[in-house]
Amino acid sequence: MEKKFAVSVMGHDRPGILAVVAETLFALGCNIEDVSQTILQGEFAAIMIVARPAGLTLETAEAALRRAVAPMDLGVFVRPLAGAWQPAELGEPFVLTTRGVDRPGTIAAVTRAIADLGCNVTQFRAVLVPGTAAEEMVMIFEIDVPYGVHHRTVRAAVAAACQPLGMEVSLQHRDVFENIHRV
Amino acid sequence: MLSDREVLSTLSMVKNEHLDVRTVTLGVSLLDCAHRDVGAFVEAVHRRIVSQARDLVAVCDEVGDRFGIPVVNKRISVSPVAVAAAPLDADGMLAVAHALDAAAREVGVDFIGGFSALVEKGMAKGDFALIEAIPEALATTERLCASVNVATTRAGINMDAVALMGRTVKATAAATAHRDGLGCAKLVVFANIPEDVPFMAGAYLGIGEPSSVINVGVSGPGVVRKAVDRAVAENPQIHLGELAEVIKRTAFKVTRVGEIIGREVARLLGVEFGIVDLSLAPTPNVGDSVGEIFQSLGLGAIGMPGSTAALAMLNDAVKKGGAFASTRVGGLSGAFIPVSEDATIAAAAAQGLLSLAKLEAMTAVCSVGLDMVALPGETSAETVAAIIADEMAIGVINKKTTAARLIPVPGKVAGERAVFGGLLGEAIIIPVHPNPICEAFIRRGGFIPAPLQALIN
Repeated sequence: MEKKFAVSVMGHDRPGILAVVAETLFALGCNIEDVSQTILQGEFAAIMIVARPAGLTLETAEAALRRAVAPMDLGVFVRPLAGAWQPAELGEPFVLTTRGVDRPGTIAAVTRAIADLGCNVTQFRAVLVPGTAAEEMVMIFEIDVPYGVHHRTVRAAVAAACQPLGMEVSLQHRDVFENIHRV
Repeated sequence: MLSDREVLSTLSMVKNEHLDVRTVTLGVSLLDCAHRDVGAFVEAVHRRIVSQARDLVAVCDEVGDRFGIPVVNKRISVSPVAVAAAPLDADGMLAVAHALDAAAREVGVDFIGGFSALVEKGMAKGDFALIEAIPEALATTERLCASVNVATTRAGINMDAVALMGRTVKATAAATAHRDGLGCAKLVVFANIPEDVPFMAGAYLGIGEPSSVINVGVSGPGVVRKAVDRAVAENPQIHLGELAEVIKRTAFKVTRVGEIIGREVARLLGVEFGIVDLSLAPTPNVGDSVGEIFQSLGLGAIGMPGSTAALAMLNDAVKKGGAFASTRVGGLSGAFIPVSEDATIAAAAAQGLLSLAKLEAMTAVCSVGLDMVALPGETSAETVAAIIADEMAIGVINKKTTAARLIPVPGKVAGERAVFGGLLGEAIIIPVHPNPICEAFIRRGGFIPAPLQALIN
C-alpha cells in the first residue's frame, strides 16, 4: 500500500508559505493529494495529505520541512495516516446554525451538546451577520447526525445548551440548502 | 461545503420572509368508490380517504421539521364528486359532502376540495344534483370546498351553467348569511380548471390523475418582495428587466423548496409525486403580501395605473423561475390577487384604489381571477353571473385559467367590512356597477362558442 502522511503548517500569514512547503515536498519526491488552507485574523493554517516514496521516512520529511519553513517562523506537524481512508457513513447531513451575541463558552456549549449525541462536525465556521451589531454572530456547523438519533433530539439538546446564552438555534437537513441555491 | 451566503440567505427566507410550503395536498381518487347506494358510497369514500390520508399530517410535519421549512396546510383533493357520485340526487350529494367533511376532520386536514362538477359543455344528472346541493353543503360543513368549471378554451362558455352558478353563489351566501356569506369563500367558478391544483378552494383531483398523488403549493410573496427590496437598495436605478430577473431567480429557489418537500412526503406516504404549484399566494399577515410587491416595484398601491403591467411581469417571472426549477410544475403557478386574503390588497380596495373593473383587468394577466371579492349583498344573481361570464371570457380567450370567487355579502353594502376569519381574511365590500342591466343577456343562456384558439389540431 502507498505510504501517506498528513502535514499541518501554521503561522503568521505571508506570501510564499505554500510555495516553500510544496517545493520541499516535491524535492523529496512526494505528491500532495489533498489540501485545505485558511487564514483567520492573519494566521495561516494548512493541512495536506501527502504520498511519499518508499525510501523516504517520516522523520526525514519532517526535518526537511522544518528546515524549509524555519526562516518564516512557522510550525510544522507531521503524522502518518493509519490506513486507506474511507468516507464514513455516519448518518444524515444537517446544518446547525446558532445566532446570538458572541461570548466565551458558546462554541463549547454547542459542540458538547452535539458530541454527547454522537454527531460529527464536518464543517464549522462563524460569521458576522451583515447589517447587525458587530458582536452578532452566526455559527454554522455542518454535522452528521447518526442514524437512530432523531434530529429533534439534536435540536432540543442544542437549544437547551444555547438558551442560557441567549442564542437562537436552527437545524435543517443539508439537502434543502443545496436544492435552493444550486442548479 | 456550503457557502455562508447559502446558509444565511436560506435562514433569512424562512425566519424573516415567510418562506413556507403553503400546502401539501393529497389527491385521492374516489372513482373506485362508485355505488348507486348512497350509504355504500359514503362508507367507501370515508374508508378510502382515511386509509390514504391517515398519516398525511404527521408525515408533513416531520418532513417540514427536518428541512426546517414549515408545511402550513395539509389538504385533500378528491375526484369531482359529480362524476364519482353521478347516480345520486341532491340529498345524496349532501350526504357525500358531510362524509368528506367528517373524513377531513378525522385525519386533521383543514380543507378538502373536490365537491366539484365539470360542466363546460353541458350538465349531466350528477352535475345538477351536486350544484343544487352546494349551498346547503357549504353551510353545513366546515372544511369542504366546492368548484364548478363552466368554460374551457376548447368548449367555450356554458352560459346556462354560468347563470345557474350566479343563483348558486347567491343561495350559498344566503345559507351562510350569519357569517358574511362565508360559504362563497369556499366556492369557485372556473374556466380552464387545472386538474392538479393543490390550492383551495379550487383543488380537485382530475379524472386523468393517479389514484393517489401528492401535489405541493409553495408561496413566498414575502421572499419575492424582500429580494426586490434588496435589489432596489443595491441599485436604486435598477430597471424592470433586471427586477424580473431577480423575481425569476427567487421563484426558482422557492419552487425547489416545494419540490424537495413534496418528493419526500410522497416517498414516505408511498404515493406518486405530482406537481409543484408555485403561486404567490398571500395571507393576511404583514410581510406575506402580493400587494407589497407592487409597492416595492414603485407603485403607490396595487390598483394604480401600471398595476396590470407590474402583475404581468411578476406572473411571467414567477412562471419562468418555477419552470426551470422543476420538471413537475403545474396547477396555477403565478400570482394570486385574492382581495380579502392579502392585507395590502384589501387596504387598497378599502381606500378605493382598487375597483372591480381594475381587478378584472388584472385577472387577464394573473394566474387565477377575481378572487375573494366581497360584493354588496343586493347584487342580483344575474349580475353575479354576468361578472362570472366576463371572467370566464378572459380565461377562454387567453387560454388560461380564470376563476371567480365572489361573495355577495348578505345585508351589507359597498364600503362595509366583511369578515371571514383566519386565512380567508376580511375585506371592504367593493361597489358593483351602479345600474347593472345584464339580466336579459344572462337569461338568454345557451353557449358562447369556443373561440378560434380552440382549433389547434
